[in-house]
Amino acid sequence: MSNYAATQLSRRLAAVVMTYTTRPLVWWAVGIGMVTSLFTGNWLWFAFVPIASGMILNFQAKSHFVTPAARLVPNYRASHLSVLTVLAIACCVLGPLVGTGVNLSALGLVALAACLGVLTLWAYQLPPLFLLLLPFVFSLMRPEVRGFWLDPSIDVTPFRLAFFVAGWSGFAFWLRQLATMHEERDDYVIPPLAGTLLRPSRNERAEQRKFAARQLNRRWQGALLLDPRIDRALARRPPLAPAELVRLGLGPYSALRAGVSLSVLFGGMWIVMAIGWMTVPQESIAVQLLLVGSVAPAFLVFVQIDEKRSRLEGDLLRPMKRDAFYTSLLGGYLRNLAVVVGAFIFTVVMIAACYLPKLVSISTAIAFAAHIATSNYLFAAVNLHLASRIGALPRMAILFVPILGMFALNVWMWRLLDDYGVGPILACSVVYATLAALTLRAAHLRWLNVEVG
Amino acid sequence: MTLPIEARFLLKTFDSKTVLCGVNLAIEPGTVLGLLGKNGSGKSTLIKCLLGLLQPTGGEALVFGEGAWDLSAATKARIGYVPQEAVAYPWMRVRQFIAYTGAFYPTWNQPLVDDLCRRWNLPLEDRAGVLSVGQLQTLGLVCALGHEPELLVLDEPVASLDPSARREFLRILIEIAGDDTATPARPRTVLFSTHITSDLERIASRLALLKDGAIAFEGEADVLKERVKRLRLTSRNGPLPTGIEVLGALRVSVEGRLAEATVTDFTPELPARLAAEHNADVAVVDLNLEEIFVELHDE
Repeated sequence: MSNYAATQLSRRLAAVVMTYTTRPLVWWAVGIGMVTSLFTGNWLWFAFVPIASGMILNFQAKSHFVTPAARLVPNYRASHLSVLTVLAIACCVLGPLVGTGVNLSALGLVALAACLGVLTLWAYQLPPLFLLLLPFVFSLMRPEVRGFWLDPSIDVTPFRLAFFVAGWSGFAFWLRQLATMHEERDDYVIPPLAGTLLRPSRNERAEQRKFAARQLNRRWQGALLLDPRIDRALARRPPLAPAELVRLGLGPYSALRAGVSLSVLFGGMWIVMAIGWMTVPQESIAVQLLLVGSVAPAFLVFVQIDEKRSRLEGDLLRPMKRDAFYTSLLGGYLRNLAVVVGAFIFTVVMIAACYLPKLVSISTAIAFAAHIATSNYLFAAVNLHLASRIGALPRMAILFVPILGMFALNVWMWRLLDDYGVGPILACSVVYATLAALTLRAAHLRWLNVEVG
Repeated sequence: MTLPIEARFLLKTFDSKTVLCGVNLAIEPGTVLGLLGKNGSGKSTLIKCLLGLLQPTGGEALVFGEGAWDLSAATKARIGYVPQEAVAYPWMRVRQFIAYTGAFYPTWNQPLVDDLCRRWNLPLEDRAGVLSVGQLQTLGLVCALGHEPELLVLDEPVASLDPSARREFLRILIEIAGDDTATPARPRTVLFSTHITSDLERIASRLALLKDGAIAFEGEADVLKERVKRLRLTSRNGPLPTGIEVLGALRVSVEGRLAEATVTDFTPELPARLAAEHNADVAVVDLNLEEIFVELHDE
């Protein structure tokens, strides 16, 4: 018989808490949350906090449980699960309560936060759930839906209670999944958020590799779309030029696929709005088109450059001059962006022409295309410049406020349309294009001097 | 003929930490040079500076006579490199990644690659992301050898391989070094870093010892073995003084009538001189590379 004496509970919990307080990712998230709260005092805040908390908790928890220590260190799991529970309660309950204070249904608020947070946590286990999140968040735009969750004068307590129970039950099941984690399970991998850190460790890079390959092996798109595309490209006669090969190595899927996915996702939502299934004013839809269009295509290719960075040690010694290599790399990135932007603009113009004819003319379509394209290229140029030194997550944090500023500027420019025509918008596009070109040139110079390995 | 690799007073610092302080190294064509050093001694940093992956803080690194930081495409086509952590695109199948790499090189030797894949049991239909570290390293080696480079640079190539794969790899490296395809006009040069001294003894024609950011020794392994010896002194009359001095000794230990000293500049006259100075019998002990490595780093 062994007389095992466990260490003090307080020491164990303090050790676990320290893993959160010493991780920069958590502080970045807290910072972004604070900034967001300054800008958005509305429903978006209720959605943002639990979703962001879910993403961070999932990453943090997985990195603690995808390790042999979780099964071998005494009292490891109980300590981590306790802290996770306390943090989940803090994120999903206290945050919104403190943030909003009064005049909202406490039960509805907690139920809403629990549902959004748990849906985010489970979406990492079952990726199709991510598709539910977007309509869930956008449904909050409707006053009656917001009222269902948050208005204390609407008496739907049994439903709120049901969602509350469902949400926290989902969280309990998620904790159970974590506690029973072992190496033979498909989800025994840290989510690829590790790749967005400044300098992922060797283990984190290995985890990313495994994650990427396992995802492809599990999905039908891997065999149906990916393999034929690569095989076709490599069998082409005459063979691909080195610049084309560099572009092929940028990521698993084609830019066209990304563009079509983005267009289908948002296009579908806007069609639903435009044909009146959701009562949203046409002007609101136009603002959404502008907001999403300004950065969404650039966001889709945002981390391509980070994924490439970890492989530069091998790629940089391919038989190409340093200058030619980086021109191909950045050029490939920009060409991918062009495809996504093109697909998106085409979709938006088609939707607008069919469903919002009052808002569309040839001149506005041209101004819209120029404005969206140059906004994305400016965003991409700054991203490329920063990416030579900074990881994706801190980059996102740095770009967060400028993006909000660009949103505001873009919306304001379009408000001038009635009085001043498309002139100011086109002038703004020229300024964006000039800034993008100058930033790209600086980015290229900076990449030429990047050290790798 | 230009040297495949040359470093002149190479200096590299990271923030305030100096990793390389004035490294001079010239590798003759056709040499198999083993770069030996402790973990963290700067072997990888030196290799990366020599290949233009890191920018030297001072000095100069040349590859086939060109500045390493901005190599031409033609010179890069003469280099094969396997990093310590082999890189591949995780979403590609092994055969796709090999074809992708081959597409960059006009001199790609597919029959050689097929042969290597067969001998090393590479799973061609698996995605690169799910390969074990050893398999990934093997894939890196295949891709580095496919274009039959004149200069092959390997950063700790066998650290992740199992004993049988390591033996097979070293055998192939000996083949490459012994060379069945290279011509006198294009002799093959190999630079590899390691801290496994037995591998060095098997295949390296020369070795360079990196210590404290500088090359402590560069030459043939036998020369090093001739220079570094252990001397055992047994006093003929009573205990030896504790503070005895042996010129050029890395370490001297005295215990009663016995003393032991490891010297780095052994000469045939040294034992006789010590015997006369200390009235002792002197025995000379040969050291293998591993013992020399330990002695040099434990001083």
